[in-house]
Amino acid sequence: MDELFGAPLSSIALTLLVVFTVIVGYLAYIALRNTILLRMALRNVVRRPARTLLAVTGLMLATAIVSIAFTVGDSLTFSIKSDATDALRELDEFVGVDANSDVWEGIAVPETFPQSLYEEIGQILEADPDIAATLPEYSESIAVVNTRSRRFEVQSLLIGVQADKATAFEALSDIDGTPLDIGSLAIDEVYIDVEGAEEIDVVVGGEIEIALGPDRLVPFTVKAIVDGYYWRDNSTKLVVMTSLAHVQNLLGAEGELTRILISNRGDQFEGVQYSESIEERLSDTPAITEAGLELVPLKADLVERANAQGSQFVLFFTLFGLFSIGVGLLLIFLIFSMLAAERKSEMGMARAVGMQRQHLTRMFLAEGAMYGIGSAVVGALVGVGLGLLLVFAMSNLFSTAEDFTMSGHVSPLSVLTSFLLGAVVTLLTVFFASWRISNLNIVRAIRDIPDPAGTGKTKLNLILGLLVTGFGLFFATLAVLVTLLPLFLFGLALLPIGVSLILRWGGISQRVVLSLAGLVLVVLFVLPNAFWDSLRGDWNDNISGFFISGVFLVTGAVLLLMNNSSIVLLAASNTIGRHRRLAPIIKSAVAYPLRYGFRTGLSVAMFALVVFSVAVLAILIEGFNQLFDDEGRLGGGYDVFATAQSDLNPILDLRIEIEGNPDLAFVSELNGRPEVGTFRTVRTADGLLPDNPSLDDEEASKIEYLPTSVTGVDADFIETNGFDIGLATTEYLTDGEFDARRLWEDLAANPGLAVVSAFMVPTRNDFNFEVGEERLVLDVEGLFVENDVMDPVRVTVRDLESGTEFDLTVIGVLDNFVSGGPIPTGLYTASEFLTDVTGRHLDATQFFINIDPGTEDPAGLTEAALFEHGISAFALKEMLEEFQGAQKSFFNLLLGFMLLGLVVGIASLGVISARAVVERRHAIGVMRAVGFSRSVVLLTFLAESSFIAMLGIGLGLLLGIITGINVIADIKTDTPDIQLIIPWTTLILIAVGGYVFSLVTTLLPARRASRIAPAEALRYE
Amino acid sequence: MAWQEQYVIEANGVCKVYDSGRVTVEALRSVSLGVKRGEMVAVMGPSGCGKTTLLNCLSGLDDLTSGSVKIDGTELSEMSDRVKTKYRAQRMGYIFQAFNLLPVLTALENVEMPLLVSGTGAKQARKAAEEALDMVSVGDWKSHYPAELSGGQQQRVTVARSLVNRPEIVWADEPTGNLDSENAAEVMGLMTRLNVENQQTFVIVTHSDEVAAMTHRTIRMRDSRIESDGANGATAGQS
Repeated sequence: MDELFGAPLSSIALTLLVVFTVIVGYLAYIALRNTILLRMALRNVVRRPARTLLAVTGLMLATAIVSIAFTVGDSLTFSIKSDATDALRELDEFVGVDANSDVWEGIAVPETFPQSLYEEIGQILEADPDIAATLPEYSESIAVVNTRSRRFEVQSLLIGVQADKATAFEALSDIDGTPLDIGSLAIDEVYIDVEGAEEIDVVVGGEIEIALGPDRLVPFTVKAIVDGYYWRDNSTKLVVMTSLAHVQNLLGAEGELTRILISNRGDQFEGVQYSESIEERLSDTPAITEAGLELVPLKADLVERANAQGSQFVLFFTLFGLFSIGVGLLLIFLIFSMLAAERKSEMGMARAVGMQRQHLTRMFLAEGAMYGIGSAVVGALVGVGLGLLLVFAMSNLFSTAEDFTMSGHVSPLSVLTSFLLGAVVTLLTVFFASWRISNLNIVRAIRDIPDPAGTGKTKLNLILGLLVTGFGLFFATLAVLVTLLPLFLFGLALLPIGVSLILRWGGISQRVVLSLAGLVLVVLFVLPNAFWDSLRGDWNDNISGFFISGVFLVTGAVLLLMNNSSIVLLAASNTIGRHRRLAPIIKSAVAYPLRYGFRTGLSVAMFALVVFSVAVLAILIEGFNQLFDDEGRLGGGYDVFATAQSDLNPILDLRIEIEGNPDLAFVSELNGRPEVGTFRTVRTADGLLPDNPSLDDEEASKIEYLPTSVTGVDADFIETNGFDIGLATTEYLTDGEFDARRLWEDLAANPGLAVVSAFMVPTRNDFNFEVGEERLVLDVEGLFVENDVMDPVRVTVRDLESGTEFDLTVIGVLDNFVSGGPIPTGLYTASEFLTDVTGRHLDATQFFINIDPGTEDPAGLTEAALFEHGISAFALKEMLEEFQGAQKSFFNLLLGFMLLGLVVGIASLGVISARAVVERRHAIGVMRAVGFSRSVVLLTFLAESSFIAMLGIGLGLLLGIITGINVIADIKTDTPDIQLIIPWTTLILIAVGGYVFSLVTTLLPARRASRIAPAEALRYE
Repeated sequence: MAWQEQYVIEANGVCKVYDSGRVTVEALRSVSLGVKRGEMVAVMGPSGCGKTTLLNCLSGLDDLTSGSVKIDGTELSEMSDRVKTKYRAQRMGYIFQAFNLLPVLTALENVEMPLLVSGTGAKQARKAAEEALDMVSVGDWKSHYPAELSGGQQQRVTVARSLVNRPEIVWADEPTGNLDSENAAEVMGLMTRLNVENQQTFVIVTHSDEVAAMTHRTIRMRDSRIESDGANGATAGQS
C-alpha cells in the first residue's frame, strides 16, 4: 500500500516526521534549558505507574486503530502482489500483439505474430543490461482430461517454448529435482505442472487427452510432473508444457508466436524493479512498434494494481473506522483534561511558590509528551498485532476463494506513519491542554474550586462565532454550486454552532444556546434525504456523508441531553429511584455524572458515535444481504452460467448441442427447445461518445477511444432471459416500471440498439471503491443511473480485431444488481447485428442454462458434457452463496473493526471512574460515615458508569436506527427491492456486550472506592 | 434536668499507631475515658495531639491498634464493617468542619440520605428530612444546592443530617471551625438545645474555648494522651 487519500504514503510520513521533529525539537530545547522541569515531569510518570498505564492505554487506542487499518492494507497488498508474482514466476514482461496499434487500423488484428521477428527483437531485448533472458512461446487455452480417471480441467493452458531458450529463462526440474530438457520431449509427450497434475489426478507415465478441436481429442503421455511452469494467468489451473515446434505443429500455427516472454535480472521478486526502466528504453523500439507489437510490463502492472487495491482497502477501512479514530482522539482530549484536573491543585501551589506560567506549560508538555510518544509506540505495535490477527481471520475468509492466500505483512513505512500520526495528534492535544492549564487561577487551583461559569461575553466567542458561521455559509454555498450534499450538510451544521457562540457573546445563557444548537443539529441530520432531494433533485452523495451525519447528529443529541440533564435526573429519580433500596444509589449515580457535564458528555459521545456507526452499518448490511439473496434476479431466471475457456472447439449453437447430447438431458425446455441463452463477447473493443454536448469543439476533438467490451446476445437469450432493466427511454416505461421483455425484443428487431451494464453509467452516489484501468463510461451531461428515464445515447464502437467501426444507440441500462453478477461489463446488442457489422464470425463466449429442478451438481454435469469445448460452469445458486458468505464474513470483520471504537469508549469510562474515586475520596468518607456500606459505595460507582454507558449506547442505538431507516428509504428510491431489516440480535448483543465490558472496566476503581477506610478518606482534602 | 448516669461510650487503653513502613506514628497512646448518656463533651488540644483520631476511633470510623471501645456496652472491635456501618446509620450522627455535604444533592436530599441508606421509605425519609431542616431553621432552603448556601446554612444542614435519624450519639469534628463567630454561636446554641431536648450525647472536637465552655466537660489531650479531664463551670446540658 503506497497511497492514502490519494497522497503518497511516503509524503504523508515525511510531513508528519517534519512536524514531529519540530515538536520533539522544541521539547528537547525545553529539557535542555531547564532539566528540573523534565525531572519533575518524569517523576510524575514514574511515581504514578497506574496512572501512567491508564493514560498510555487510553492514548494508544487511536494510533492502534490506524495501525490496524495500515497492517491489513499492507497484508492485502503484499498478498495480492505475492499472488501475482508467484503466479508469474520468472516472467517480468512480454512482447505481444498490440491491438491498439495503428499498424492494425482498418484491418483485422491478429492473435499471433511471425516467429521470424524474434531474431531481431530477441537480440535487442537480450542486449539490454537489465534483461536476463527471453523465451518465445506459443500458448493456447485448452481442456485436459485424465484418460484413466476421467477427471478433467477446462481452465488449462498448453504452452510451447523454444527449447534452446527455456533453461536460460527458467531452469525447471521435476518434483524429484531432476532438471528438465523440454527439447527432449517426443511429439506425444508433455510435462504437466504439479498443481495441475493434482487437479486431474495424473501421475508420471499417465495418459491425458487434450481437446484441440472439433472431435479432436489428442492423447499424450505425461513425461514428468514439473515444479513450475513458464507462465500462466490467475485463472489457469493446469499447465501442459512441450516444445514450441510441437505446439505449433499441433495447432497448425507453424512459424507463429503468441508472445516473447522476458525475464529480468535478479530472482522472481527482484526483477520487477527494472521493469520501468526497461519499458522506458525499449517500448518505442521500431522493431517492436512497427510490427504492431508492444512491450507489456505485466508483473509491474500487477504489482501497481496490488498497491492500488491495498490503498483502496485501507481507505475503505479507514473511512469506516473514522468514527473509532474520532473517538480515539476524543479520548486523548479527555485523558489530558483529567490529567490537568488532577494536577490543578499542585500546579496552583507551584505557581504560588514562584513557578512561571511558561514553566508550568513546559512541565505539563514534557509529561504529556512522554505519555504521547510512549502511547504512540505502543499503539503502533499493538495495532500491528491486532491487524495480523484480523488478517488471520480474513485468510480463513478468503480460503474459500479460488487460489488466493492472504498472509500477514508489515511495512516499516506504515508502522512509522501510524506512529507519527498518533504521536503528532497526541502532542498537538498536549500543547492545547498545556496552554489551557497554564491559565489557571492560583487560589482556585489550590483550593480546587471550580472556575466560575462566566457570562460568555468574550471577544473569543464573537470571533469564533463569526468565523464558524462564515465558514458554514461558505461551504453551504459552495455545495449548492457543486451539488454535493455532504458538503452542504456540513456547512449547514456549522451554522448553529457559530450562531450559538455569537448568542453567548450576546449574553444568552449557555443552557439555552447549546440546547438550541443541539436541537437544530438533531433535526438537520434526522431529516431523510428525501427532504433534501425535494429542494433540488440533483444532489451528489458519497461516503463522507455518513461520517458527517454521524458526528453532527451525535454532537447535537449530546448537547441537547447534557444541557437538559435535570429532566434526565427527574426521570431517573421518579422511576428507578422510587425503589427504596435503590434511591440513594440512583440519586448519586445520576447526579454526579450530570454535574461533570463536559467529561460525561465526551464519554457519552464516544459510546454513541461508535454504536451509531455500527448500528447504521448493521442495518445496511442486513438490507444488502437480503437484496443479494435473490438468485432469480441475479441470474435472470437461469440456473447455470458457463464460460468458454478455449476457442479451439467453440460451440456453434448451444441448443443444437444440447438436443444432440443425451448427457445434457437435464436442461429444461421452453416452448419445446432448450431454455438457454448465449452471449458472444468481443473484449478487444473500444468506444467513445461522439455527441457529447457538454464538450466544446476542442475538447471533442481530443477525446480518445476507451476500452470496453461489446456482447452480442443470441435469439435464445432474448427469448428466455428474465434480467431486469434499471433505466431506459420513456417508451419502455409502463406503470412506473420498465418493460424489459419488450426492450430485449426491440434490441433483436432493430439493428444497432444496445443496452449497457449499470457500471457504464455515472452515479450520483459515489460509494465506489473499484480500481483498474479507465474504461468507457456514458459520461453524458444529466445522465445518472439514478434517473427515472434516459434519452438514447449514441456510442461509436471499434472492433479491434476486424478493424471496423460502427455506432450503437443505447436505449437501456441493466439493473444494478444484475450488473454486479457474472455477466461482462459493457454494451449488449443483437448477435446478428454484431456479426454483420464486424464482418466476422463471433464465437459464443458465455452461456446461460436452465436446468430441471432436483438436478444434482448441474455445473459439474455441464462441464463434463461440454468438456471438449473447454467450458467451465458454475451454478448461480452456489456462486451467490459463496459470494454472500464471503460478503457476510467481510462485513462482520468490518463491524468488528468499527467496534474497536467501543473499546475506546469503555476505556474512557475507566479513566473517568479512576478520576472520580480520587476526586470524591473525601465524599466517599462522608458517605461511609453516614451509613453507606461498602457494597452501596461500590454499587453507586458502578451505577454511575452504567448510567453513562447506557446513555451513550442507548443514544447511539436510537440515532443509528433512525439514520438506518432513512438510509434504506433513500436507497429504496433506486433499488426498490431493498428491505429495512433491523438486526435486533446483533444490536442487542453489541449493546449488552458494550455495557458489560464497561462495568468490568469500572469494577476496579469502584472496588477501590468501596474499600477506602472512612477515617482515611475523611482526612483527605 | 440531670442526664442519665450511664456510660454510653467507654474507651479503655485505646492505642492507634500509623505505620507506613518508613514512618511510625503513635496517634493515640493508651487513652481511656467514659462518656455518659446525654453528656456534651469537648475534646481539646494542640494540632496533632490525636483529637480527630480519638473521635474516629470512638465512633468506629477507624480501627484501633489495641484497646477497646464499647458503645452502649457493645464492643466495637467485635462488629464487622457491615454491622458498624449499619450502627452508624441508625445510631450515630456526624458533623464535620468542612460541612461535607454531597455537592450534587440538594439540602433536603443530603439530609434524607442517611434515612434512605438505612432502609427508610422515600416518603417517610422526606418528611423526616423536612422536619429536621425546619428544626435547624433552614427549611426554606431545602431545594438549594450546598454551593448556594452560606457557611452557616451549610453547617445547619449538616447538623440536620446528623440528627435526622435521631442518633444516640453525635460526633462533631470542629463544627464551628469554618464559621464566623455569629454563626458559630448559633450552631453551638442549636447543638446545646438539641442536647437538652433530645438527651443526645455529643462529643465535640474543637480548638475553641468558647465552644468548650458550652459543654459539660472538657477532655484535654497532648502528645496523643489525655492530659486532663474535668467538668466545666457551666452545665450546658442543663436548662
